[in-house]
Amino acid sequence: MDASRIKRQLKRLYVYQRYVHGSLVGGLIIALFVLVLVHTAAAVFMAPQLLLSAQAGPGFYIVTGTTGLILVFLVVFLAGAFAGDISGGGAQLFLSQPLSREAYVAAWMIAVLATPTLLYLLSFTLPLLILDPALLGAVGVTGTGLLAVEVVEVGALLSLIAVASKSRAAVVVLGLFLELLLPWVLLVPFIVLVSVPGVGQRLTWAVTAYLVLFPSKYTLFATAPTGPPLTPTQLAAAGLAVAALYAALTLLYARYRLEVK
Amino acid sequence: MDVIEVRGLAKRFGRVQALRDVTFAVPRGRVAGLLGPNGSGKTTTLKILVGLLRRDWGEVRVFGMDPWLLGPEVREKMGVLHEKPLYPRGARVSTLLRYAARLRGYSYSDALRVARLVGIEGLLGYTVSALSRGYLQRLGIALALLGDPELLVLDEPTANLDPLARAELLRLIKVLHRDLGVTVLVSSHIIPELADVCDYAVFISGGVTLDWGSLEELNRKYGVVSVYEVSTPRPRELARELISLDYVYGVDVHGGLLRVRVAGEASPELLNVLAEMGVDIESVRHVGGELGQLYSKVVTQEAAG
Ligand SMILES: Nc1ncnc2c1ncn2[C@@H]1O[C@H](COP(=O)(O)OP(=O)(O)OP(=O)(O)O)[C@@H](O)[C@H]1O
Ligand SMILES: [Mg+2]
Repeated sequence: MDASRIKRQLKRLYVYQRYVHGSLVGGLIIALFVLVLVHTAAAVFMAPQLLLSAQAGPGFYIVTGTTGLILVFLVVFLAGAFAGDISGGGAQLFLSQPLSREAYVAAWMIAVLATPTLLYLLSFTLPLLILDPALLGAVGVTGTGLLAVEVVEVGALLSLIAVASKSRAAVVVLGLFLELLLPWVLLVPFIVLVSVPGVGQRLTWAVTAYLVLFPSKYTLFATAPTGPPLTPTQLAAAGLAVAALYAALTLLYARYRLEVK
Repeated sequence: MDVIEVRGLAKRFGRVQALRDVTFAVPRGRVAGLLGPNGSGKTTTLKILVGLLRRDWGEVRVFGMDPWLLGPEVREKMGVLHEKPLYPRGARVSTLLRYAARLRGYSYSDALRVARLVGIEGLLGYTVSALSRGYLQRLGIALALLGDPELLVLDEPTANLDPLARAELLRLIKVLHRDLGVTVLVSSHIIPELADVCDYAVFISGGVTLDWGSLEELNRKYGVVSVYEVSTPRPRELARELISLDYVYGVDVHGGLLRVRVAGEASPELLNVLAEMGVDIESVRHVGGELGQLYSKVVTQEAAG
């Protein structure tokens, strides 16, 4: 592959991702609006308490938990739109133009996982920073950061499911299962076993794997007797590595397998 | 040089063997018809040429490149109209044209030019869900014409068009071919339509290509009537001479032009006779034949042997 070919492909990727974002702009704006509204309101109402105690209480975590759910729904919905575009939407049209399958998939991955995560992080940090930078220190970025990593992972996995299944329904059902049901179901054996003396120690690998896949559950293990096996930074790095693996598999699938009607 | 070269192509969908052995070539500057019954593999072949489907077996070259691996490079020079064009739901006509043009490095004004050419310039603000089937087809044609392609791949292009739009599209194909030297591969069931525009044909049945080549060659090979247009300063005398030849079935005079119907296998003899007449003949052009007859002869002959 020579440089001018790569340059042309990047230019087309840029053009096409603008189209994709344009087609999703309505949903993105509504989600951003709700996120900014909730985060700003939470920051304003809880500012006195946050600044006094210099750490976030359960009230704030309820807010970020709720907005995190909005982010999850958004990513699942966008991944579904991606699958729908492959099976019966724009894929045939745009892949009949000089756009490569890899660029097509990359543009959608940007829209499915990068854009919503970025909007989420901005909607969270900007209101705090604007009100008082000290608020961000009090709340910390661990919780939202790990949530963002988890959503990027799920988004990348759902992109892989989207190209492989081309089915909106499969993506949405799996996405909701992965985020709303599976982490809690898997949590049950941990809660039971962690407190059993002697067993807890041997669960470290399982807990590590669980946390790499669901980093946002980190705080649940912060108080476990064994403690979390990884630091938040390690966890974020591991989670992003998993996401990168999914993304690479998605691009490879696009290169060698993805067929369009 | 052949713009399209296909050898031993095979493709299976689950339990359906859609293509078994598709082999043909289309030289530059030809208007080639892809003819075959329903389910014979025309659409599958075209999608492999575009690079949307992957072949299981065989060789495919478009402009000398493999469309599955070098899709963008192939499609830079290719315009495509699908049998069932799919459009993203809720998208505006203008948006689709704008971004398709940009992907080709063209501007919106170029997109407007093709929109006018196919008569959808009044619908640019509409969403695709508001378009009738005929206008969806026209939008597909506009998208295929964007960026002045050297090769047009058209899968049943006149489907859903009213008679006027149909005639206009066929005229457009002829103009693109004659004035710009565009190569065309067009599938259709409507044989008279294809006979009107094609000078080349590929016959396919059951996922196997039966035969392919210029209509002149095929007519000769299968003994099907060919039609030549002869331009001459003394049409009446010439017509009288030609009609006396026993392999000439008919001669029509249109001013200085003769349309001569000749038994396909005897067309070389006719050409020899015309060549010997020297200055009296200004030009000779093969303009068609009985494509329907050719179609049934190819199919029955291949089935027999
Ligand atoms: N996506 C698919 N999945 C399963 N079978 C398919 C698929 N696409 C095509 N086929 C089958 O492959 C064969 C060839 O289909 P194709 O659409 O290429 O034929 P065609 O010549 O274009 O037919 P038509 O004249 O009806 O358009 C048919 O038997 C068809 O049912
Ligand atoms: Mg077809």
